[in-house]
Amino acid sequence: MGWLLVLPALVVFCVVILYPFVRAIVGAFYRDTLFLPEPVFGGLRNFRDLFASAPVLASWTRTIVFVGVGTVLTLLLGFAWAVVLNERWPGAKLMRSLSLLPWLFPSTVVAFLWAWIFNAQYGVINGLLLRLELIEQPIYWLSSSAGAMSAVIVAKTWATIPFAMAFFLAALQTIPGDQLDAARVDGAGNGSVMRHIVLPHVRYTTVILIVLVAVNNLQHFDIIYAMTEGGPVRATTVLAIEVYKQAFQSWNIGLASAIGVVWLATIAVPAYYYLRSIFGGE
Amino acid sequence: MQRTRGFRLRHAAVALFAAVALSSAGAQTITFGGWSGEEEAARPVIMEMIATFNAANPGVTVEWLGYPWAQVQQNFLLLLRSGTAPQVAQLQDRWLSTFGELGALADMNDVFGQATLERHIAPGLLTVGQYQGQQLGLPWIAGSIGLVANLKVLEDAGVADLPVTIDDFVAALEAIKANDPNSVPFALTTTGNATISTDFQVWLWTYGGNLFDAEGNVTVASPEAQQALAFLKGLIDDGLVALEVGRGDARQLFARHQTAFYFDAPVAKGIARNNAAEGAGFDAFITPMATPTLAAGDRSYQTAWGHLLVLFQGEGQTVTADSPAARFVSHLVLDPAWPVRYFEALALLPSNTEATMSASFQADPYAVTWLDIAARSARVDEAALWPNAPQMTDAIGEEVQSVYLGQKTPERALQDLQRRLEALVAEVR
Repeated sequence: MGWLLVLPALVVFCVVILYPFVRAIVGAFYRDTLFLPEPVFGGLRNFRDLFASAPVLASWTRTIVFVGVGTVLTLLLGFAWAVVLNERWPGAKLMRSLSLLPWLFPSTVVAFLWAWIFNAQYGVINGLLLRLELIEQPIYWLSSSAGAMSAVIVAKTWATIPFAMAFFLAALQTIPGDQLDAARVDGAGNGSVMRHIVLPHVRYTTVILIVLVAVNNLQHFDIIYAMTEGGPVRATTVLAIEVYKQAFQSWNIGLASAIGVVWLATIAVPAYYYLRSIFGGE
Repeated sequence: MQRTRGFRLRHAAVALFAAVALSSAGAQTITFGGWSGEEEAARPVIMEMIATFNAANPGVTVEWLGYPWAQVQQNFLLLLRSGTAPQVAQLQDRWLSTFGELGALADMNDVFGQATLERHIAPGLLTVGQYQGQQLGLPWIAGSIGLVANLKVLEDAGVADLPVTIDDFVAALEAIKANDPNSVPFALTTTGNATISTDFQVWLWTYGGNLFDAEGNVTVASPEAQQALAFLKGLIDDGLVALEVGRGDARQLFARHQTAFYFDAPVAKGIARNNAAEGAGFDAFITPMATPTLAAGDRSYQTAWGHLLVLFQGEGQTVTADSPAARFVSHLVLDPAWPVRYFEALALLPSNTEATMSASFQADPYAVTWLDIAARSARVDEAALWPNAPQMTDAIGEEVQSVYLGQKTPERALQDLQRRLEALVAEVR
């Protein structure tokens, strides 16, 4: 009877998740392009091509940069905003609700919004800088490797801060008030309270968030592709974009699957720690 | 895992055969796939074409299947692999080689007969739809991607005549910049691999260079190509061309009188009307022009351009002229009424010979001038002749953009492009 109850979910899982997952991994060992009559077993050839391809390896490096910087910024800013919202001030409750808006916007909307903000001809940033006479000519934010990567990191971070903020806010609100009062009575300043009471209290939440945000950034495709399509000159081509390009522009399904396997291995590391923390306790 | 291309195409053949078999039994639905029906300006006339055919052909229903232009090619390839490709499809001319290589398209000469086709469409235009000697597509609209000029911007800058030589062109750009420092005198596309590739190739040919020679050998790392790329980079350094300008941005700049020149298809006039504050009044400011040349009298170049209509057919399947899909294609292209209507609605140049003789076409100096320039200047995108054209286009776009962004010198970029194109050619030879 128990098996009957789980059977529908099991079937859906197998069809929608397990089968494509296994097939993609198996596909990594086959040469499969648009112009081959049929897939041909190639062993580790796709992986050899992958590790011999400087552009593909560069995608992996860019992914590390995007994930690392994006995750750190998201956590720092999310925590800071949660601290602010945890205080009592007029409008704090309204601001908590409004703070969730970036998280609710669809990814492509976020991408178009930030693409317009960074637009060299019509963007708000350049408009403001030109009006304040801080620059004489528009800055082409999306035309340099560093500028484009920074722009996509800013856009993704903006969209994810509410998620981190919500987690941190919940954790902050569970800090016992009497501990804070006692610390103040003992003469502890803001820095000491933060270092000795607040941060230890949110440590577990921070670990969870590092894993969740990192995995989310590792998987991310929408904002980057909508803003820059992986450019300029592949400057923002992270693994997610590389898989898409190999599969649906170069039609090299085998190589795309191999990149997917490497991508999976990269995600597996933080995912392992996340699952261990969930099922294994603190 | 024994998934084979033959297996998939047989699946497609079965699906198409079932559809054809059903047609003789009664009501039949055929799918017409493409992108124009998704665009605000074109949608009404596309739906009108479909509705008129449906009304005139009881028992046949044409249904539209639309995608944004940038997603059409990959979606059609996915539909082909799954055996659910539309029976009639709109393709961009440069995609023909990819689909042609897959053997999924009907030869229009077999369907309609070459004599019939040449009676309605000039042989020169039919070449746009040919691949390896087969007529795999019919040009639905024809023309080129050529320069358009904003006469108001030129007049305001004191430029009396359209430039003929590159020296005239640069002088005009400088005058425009001096008149309005915030302008982008020439809205060359500097982002987006597909449009960077086509815009670059026009200047490459102007300077006497080529991507390939007649035998298909890669010849892009030439002194002529370096000159062309150095010229374009120089325009950027001098502030006469801006970075981060895509085709859509160029159209906006043009409609707002912030640029004097940019490359576009004949649809530029209709788009400018939609974008400009003047509306239809903007027609007085736009004119097509020939690409400037090194010296007066040299051949001018544009990129041949057009939308094709194709008939997908499965392996072993044959599409005939009296099949609903073929009759729908005939309705759109061989019957002059709808090419004329399409032209009147969107200023898209018809491929149908009778349509170009119509009173409404002949009364439009913009269209007549464009067709005249295209007839003398149009040349097919060199990458489009290869089945792995998308990869080649990406390589061209990336290397050219690396020069625009100052990441590589023209010499280094062209050497890298040479190597990348040689590897891509080796994949398909």
